[in-house]
Amino acid sequence: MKLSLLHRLLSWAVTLLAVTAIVFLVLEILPGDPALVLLGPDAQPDTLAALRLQLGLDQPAYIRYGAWLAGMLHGDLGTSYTYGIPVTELIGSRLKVTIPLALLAMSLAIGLALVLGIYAASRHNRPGDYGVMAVTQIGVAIPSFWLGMLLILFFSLTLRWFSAGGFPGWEAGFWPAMRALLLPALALAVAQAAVLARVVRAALLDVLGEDFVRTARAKGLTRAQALRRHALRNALIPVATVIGLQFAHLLAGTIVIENVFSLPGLGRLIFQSINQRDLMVIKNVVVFLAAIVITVNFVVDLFYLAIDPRLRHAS
Amino acid sequence: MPLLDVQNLFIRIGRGESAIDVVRDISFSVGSGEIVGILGESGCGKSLTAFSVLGLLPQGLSAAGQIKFDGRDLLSLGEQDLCALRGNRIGMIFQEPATALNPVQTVGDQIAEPLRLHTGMGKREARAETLHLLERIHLPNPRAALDVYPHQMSGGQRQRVVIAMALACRPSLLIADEPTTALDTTVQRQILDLLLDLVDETKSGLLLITHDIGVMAEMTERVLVMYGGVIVESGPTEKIITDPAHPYTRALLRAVPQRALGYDTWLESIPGTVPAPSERLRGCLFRSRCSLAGPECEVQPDLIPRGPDRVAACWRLPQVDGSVPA
Ligand SMILES: Nc1ncnc2c1ncn2[C@@H]1O[C@H](COP(=O)(O)OP(=O)(O)OP(=O)(O)O)[C@@H](O)[C@H]1O
Ligand code: SF4
Ligand SMILES: [Mg+2]
Repeated sequence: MKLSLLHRLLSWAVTLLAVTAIVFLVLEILPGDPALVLLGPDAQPDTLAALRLQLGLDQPAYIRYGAWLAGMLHGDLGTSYTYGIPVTELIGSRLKVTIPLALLAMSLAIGLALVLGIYAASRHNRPGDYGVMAVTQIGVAIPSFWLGMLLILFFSLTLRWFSAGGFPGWEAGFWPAMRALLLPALALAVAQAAVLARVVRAALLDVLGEDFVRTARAKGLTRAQALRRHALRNALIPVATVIGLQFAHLLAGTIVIENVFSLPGLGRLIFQSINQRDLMVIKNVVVFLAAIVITVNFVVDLFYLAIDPRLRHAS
Repeated sequence: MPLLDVQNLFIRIGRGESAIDVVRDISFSVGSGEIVGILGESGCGKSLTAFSVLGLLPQGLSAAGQIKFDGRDLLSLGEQDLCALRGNRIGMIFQEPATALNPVQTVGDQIAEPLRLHTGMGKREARAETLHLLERIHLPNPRAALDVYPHQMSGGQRQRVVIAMALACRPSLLIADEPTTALDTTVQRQILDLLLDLVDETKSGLLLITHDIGVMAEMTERVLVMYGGVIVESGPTEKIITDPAHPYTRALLRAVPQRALGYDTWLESIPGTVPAPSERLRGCLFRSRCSLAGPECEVQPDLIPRGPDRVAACWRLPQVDGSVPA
């Protein structure tokens, strides 16, 4: 148990280090001089040189990489070229939108998927099952930005239940803020829920064919009780794997959705920084997003350990 | 009235014209405190017969005929009534202890489940009773076993747990589907002894399914020999072993050296295999492997009495003096 935990923690750190190296290398070979972008094409050579010096661009690559990592360990991610404020501050303020958005979307997706998946599995090869399969087939195919626009059209512009976009900030209170996140979260969740519902259904049907489910029935449990008490927990193992993978998709989805709903989140920040060639922001946000994804997978690993005693006892 | 009385049971795959009978017209009974065996090679329909008694046939299979348990016809009983019987009045022991237990639930919780379901025991009470059961099945260190997961146990220990689970509510009928097939020879012995003790103690009826003649000889009082979904011979175990009538039973017994009526004797030694349900011919199913087969065997023989308590289905049964008719 301790050993496998340590092993997973180590692989978390190594993966993160690899991500920083890749991000740094990619930005290094990308054409475009940030100093030139900042000062414009008419800049004087000596002003350019001065700015490069100020940005530390005159140093060799390995020194800059080392400095970046060292800064990261101290919580110092440098200063944004365009905003002129520390990147940590910038990311921090944007996270207050993106993390709640992603969590809300994931919870919606998981909740919907469990309900639909369990329902379909318990109605296997009957109309209810076919209905869920048809609905999820459509759900999988709907692009989130399109669904987002549709939701705005219907709920915001026609019914006027929600505002069409923007974020009042958490200062405005919990519910107003959540209200602003609900439609974008739904737009993100639908496709994920559709995929996940199919995974839940397939995993359950798989487990329902196992001998121990028959044992449960031989004890006198009804079909529904056997599903709830015995099949579900075993089926959650493959489902958790997919949830981990989906979280990455979901974060990528926020880049588009935050733009559709004009939400000041991390996705919108990365979109803007790419336009402005704000390398300092880009590289840190990319590493940060990767760190979230890797951490989620780490949490999924912990979840396996919690749910499957066979993994706990294997060293 | 016997505890379990099965009459003209058919088990069908599919519906309508294309339906195939996997088990055809079998009748037998098990009384309280009686041990009845079903003997047959792999694929002859033993497990399906057991599952049909519990009303747990796999999807797509259906049973017809009559299965009376305690005077009630199980085939016409609703799902709710069946759930009340399963694990309560009828306990089932499975062939594969490795897969019969839920891998993510503790052994204690799994044994306590039927107790809580059927007897209305609370959590603590069920746990105490579970501990008692674990002592009865002679599990080493029963208190620790309560909180252990199945993968931490050996195959024999797991099968003991499955037995404890089946016995938890003191059922009047136990069905054991090849309870020792997946176990080592020495462990087989212990499990069979345990079963014998428990059945003797609780006076419940035991339907013991096996393909091992040694197990059948040692454990059962009466036996049904099945071949390809039908009963080819049945009667008191003792008489069938000393004086087998049906050519299939005789071939089975010939394949087992007399002194080795031990526990690892398997039936695979008759040339050929049981025909699958879909490729069964008309007439006697054993025809393709029978050394006595003749033209009359293209018509299915009925079970005919041989003495007061035995039946066999063959056109060429030996005369009572042992000679075979021409
Ligand atoms: N779910 C199913 N669908 C279709 N056919 C089945 C199904 N289960 C069993 N059968 C068929 O029914 C026949 C009898 O199966 P059964 O499991 O009762 O055999 P068995 O005598 O228990 O054999 P074994 O010794 O291998 O356990 C076999 O030919 C098998 O192929
Ligand atoms: S009926 Fe014919 S084929 Fe069948 S067992 Fe008897 S002799 Fe053999
Ligand atoms: Mg079987």
